[in-house]
Amino acid sequence: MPLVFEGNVIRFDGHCTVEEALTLAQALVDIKDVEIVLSSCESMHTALLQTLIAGQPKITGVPQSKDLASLIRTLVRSEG
Amino acid sequence: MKSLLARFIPEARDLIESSSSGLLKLEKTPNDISVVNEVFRAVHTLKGSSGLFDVPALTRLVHVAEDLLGAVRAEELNIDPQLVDHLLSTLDQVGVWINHLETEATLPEDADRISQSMSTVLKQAFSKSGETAVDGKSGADAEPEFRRLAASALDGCDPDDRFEAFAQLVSGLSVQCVEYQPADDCFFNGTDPLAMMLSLPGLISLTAFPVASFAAITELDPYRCNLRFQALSVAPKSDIEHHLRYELDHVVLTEVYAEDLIVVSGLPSDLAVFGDFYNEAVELLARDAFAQIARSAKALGAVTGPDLASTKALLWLASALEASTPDKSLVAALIEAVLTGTFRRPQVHATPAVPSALRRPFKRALDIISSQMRGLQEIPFEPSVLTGPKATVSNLLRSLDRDELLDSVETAGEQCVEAGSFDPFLHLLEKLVADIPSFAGAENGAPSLSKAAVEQPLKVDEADKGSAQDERDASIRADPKQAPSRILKVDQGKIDALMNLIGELVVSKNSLPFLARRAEEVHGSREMSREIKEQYAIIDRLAQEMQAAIMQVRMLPIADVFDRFPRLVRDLSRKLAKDISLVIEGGDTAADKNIIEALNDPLLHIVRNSLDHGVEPPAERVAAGKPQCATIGLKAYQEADYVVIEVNDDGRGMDPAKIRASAVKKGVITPDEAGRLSDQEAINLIFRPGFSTAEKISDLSGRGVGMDVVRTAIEKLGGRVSVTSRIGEGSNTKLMLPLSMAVTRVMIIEAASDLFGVPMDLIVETVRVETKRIHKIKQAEAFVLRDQLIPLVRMADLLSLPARPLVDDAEAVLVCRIDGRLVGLVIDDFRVGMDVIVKPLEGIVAGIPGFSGTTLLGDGRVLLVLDLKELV
Repeated sequence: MPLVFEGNVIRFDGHCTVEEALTLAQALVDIKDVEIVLSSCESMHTALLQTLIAGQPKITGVPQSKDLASLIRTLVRSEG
Repeated sequence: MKSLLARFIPEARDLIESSSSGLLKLEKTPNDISVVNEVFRAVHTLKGSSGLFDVPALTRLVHVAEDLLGAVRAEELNIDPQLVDHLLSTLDQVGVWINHLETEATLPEDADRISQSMSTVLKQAFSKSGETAVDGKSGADAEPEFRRLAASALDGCDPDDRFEAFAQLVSGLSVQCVEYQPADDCFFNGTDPLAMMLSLPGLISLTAFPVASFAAITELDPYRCNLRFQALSVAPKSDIEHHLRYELDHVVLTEVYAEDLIVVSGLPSDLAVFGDFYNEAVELLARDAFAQIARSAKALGAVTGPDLASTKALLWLASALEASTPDKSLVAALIEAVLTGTFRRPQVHATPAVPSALRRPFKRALDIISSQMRGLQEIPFEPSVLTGPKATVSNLLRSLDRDELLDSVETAGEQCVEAGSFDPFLHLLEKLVADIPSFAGAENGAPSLSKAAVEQPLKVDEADKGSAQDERDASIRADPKQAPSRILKVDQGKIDALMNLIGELVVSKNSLPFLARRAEEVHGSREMSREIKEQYAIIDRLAQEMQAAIMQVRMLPIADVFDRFPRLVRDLSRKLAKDISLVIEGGDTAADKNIIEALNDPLLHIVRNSLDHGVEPPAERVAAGKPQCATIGLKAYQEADYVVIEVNDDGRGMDPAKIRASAVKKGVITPDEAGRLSDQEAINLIFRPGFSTAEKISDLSGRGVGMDVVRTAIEKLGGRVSVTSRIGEGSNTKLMLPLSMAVTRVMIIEAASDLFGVPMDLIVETVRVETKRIHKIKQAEAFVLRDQLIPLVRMADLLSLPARPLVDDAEAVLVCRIDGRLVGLVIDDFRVGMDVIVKPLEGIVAGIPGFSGTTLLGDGRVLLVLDLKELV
């Protein structure tokens, strides 16, 4: 599982695929004060990106891809 | 593989030509279904053959055209002139690609985009049919080539990225803005727009925007794509198009110009230093002292507050001045921005002062000239070759309004002929390549300052959009036909004429023996007769050699047809997930060009049938105890005057019961008839028109080109086709084709007191059978030849003529093989074998059954050639 759940923290690990999108969307609704950790994320599917944009969770850590990092930075609020 | 491509090219040209002429016919008689079929088949074959090569853009485009024609064929779509226009321009484009394939062995770089935009036009024609006429220009308009970005288009883009892109642009790269709005259901077909954009070649910046504002997270459908992307890239346009080739429908590419990128924002300032700088810079600019402006800009930028708008403007200015020839109007606008803190786009690009007719895509002109140069550099000198390039360059110059240079083209051409080399012409072209950018600059009314300025004529406003299409058409028309080769290309008609003449010669030399006999019998000169016979022997030998030579000219190895199959079988077997090995034998067997060419389609069809219906899936094979890997064999060999081609597979074979049932269901035969058929006869039903066992139509077989078409095609060539099959063991299709079609060898026989010809290839042997060895079985007669019972048929009975009474007590029997069975024909006597040209029966006698044609004997008598298949 590229999405690792640890308490209220969801860690994106490696290549995160479209199959995770529904789980993520549900998690953003269910988990209180959810925090997303992207530092070990190598890539994510468009579906995950738009779920993050829609949910605007707290993000910590930047993904390894510079371009992806700057996309996330501009589109999702960042408090990390 | 290369030689395969070399064969594909002329074939493709032929197909394009035949479909084009068919389309033109259709325009006049839209309801002629036979022409529709003809065009469809040509395009279908073109698509199929092109699939052998790595030319997906071409195959895709032809496929769309094929679908369209398929709809016409199914009467879902009406042919109108506009549709014909679209199809013809599609074929023209394919023709251009074929020319490119011939010289470069690949498609041009922009092929993906052109294929995409032309397919879109064709698809529109399809969807709009019936209601309104399609806008003929939409294809040209759809080309994003000459769009400009709106002033606010890049607002979402990070200023730092814009600055970087600007620096790249100033350094001479072109920058593209890629706008990509994926279809909202694109995730379901495996598309990941984000990944695609992140891996875009030459990516400088990437931004994303929601298409519609996002619903609350509880309502969100994460599988519906609600993002659109905008990227800046410094990769060549063709690379970007190639990267996004499957999504080009959803992508807009726009060339970005320097002023699109500049963004000056920050705190306002009224520091005096900026005013001083402005005054100094304006003065320096008037003297074109760019270096000095750059120095002051950098110096001032280093000391003023980094958050000030004017400081930002200074940085942009310094960057703009990095260019080898800075754009003066841009620099002026930036100098002003230093003073005012806001950047106003220079107006010069938006409203060029020259009339639109003068502005043409000069870049394309450069491309055309360089391709001409490449072409000429690669081939040895030949005066006739120059005609094409000369015409192209002259047309180009005319289109650029440089008529005054036309003379120099002519002069260079003459110098080439004198010098015996292309060099003078190549020099001229080199000069033109150097000069063309300055044509552009001159028309701009401003010195060409930066790359943006040089390319400025490429930016065409609304009124001039049509010229893109015109230009492409022009380059299509001007494209030199094809590079000459060492091979002499002769019109096939001329060879045919020669062949006919030789055929006549062969026949008329047959009259010499008659002459010799007359000399002896009528004029009593034995010596004269001997001399004529001697001469005859010489003429006979020469005529035969000549005939052999001319046949040789037309002979091609069957490998020409076979060569395309390994790849076809490989690709199709992968597509069908079947494991198939192809075994080819006898590729060097030669046959007449006409035959080889006509073999292509039928053979393709038979092999596809074997692949698609014959060979079982691997699991089924293993279950049946067969090796997992199926074998399809292609075998050619010569048998007497025939070339035999066998296609066999070790697949599931044909089930006669199934065929019977299917034939009854389709109304091909009645249930009664079906019951009476033997298994072999049932299998032969597949040759009946309207019969096809394929239950589902796949793209391999089942486009309505059934086995009946195969049989018709083969019989038209004077050949035969037969199929044998055993359930569970496989099928074998055997094509027998004459080696050559012009001259037939017949045996002259005597029957019912008259002379007839029998085609030699049917005759197995001639025997004399004593009357006592002929057995009567009820009404029928038969005799035993080497332990084989052979039924006898009396020729006189067949012809309903009185038989000649027997002279001695032995019958002359001609043992023939008809439809695979031996039959003994009782005739009066055998005569000689002879080469003749069989002329079909014409006019009032055309319908008489039993005769395949007539021929002239040496003494002027007409010989009827029997059609034994029909008689017996």
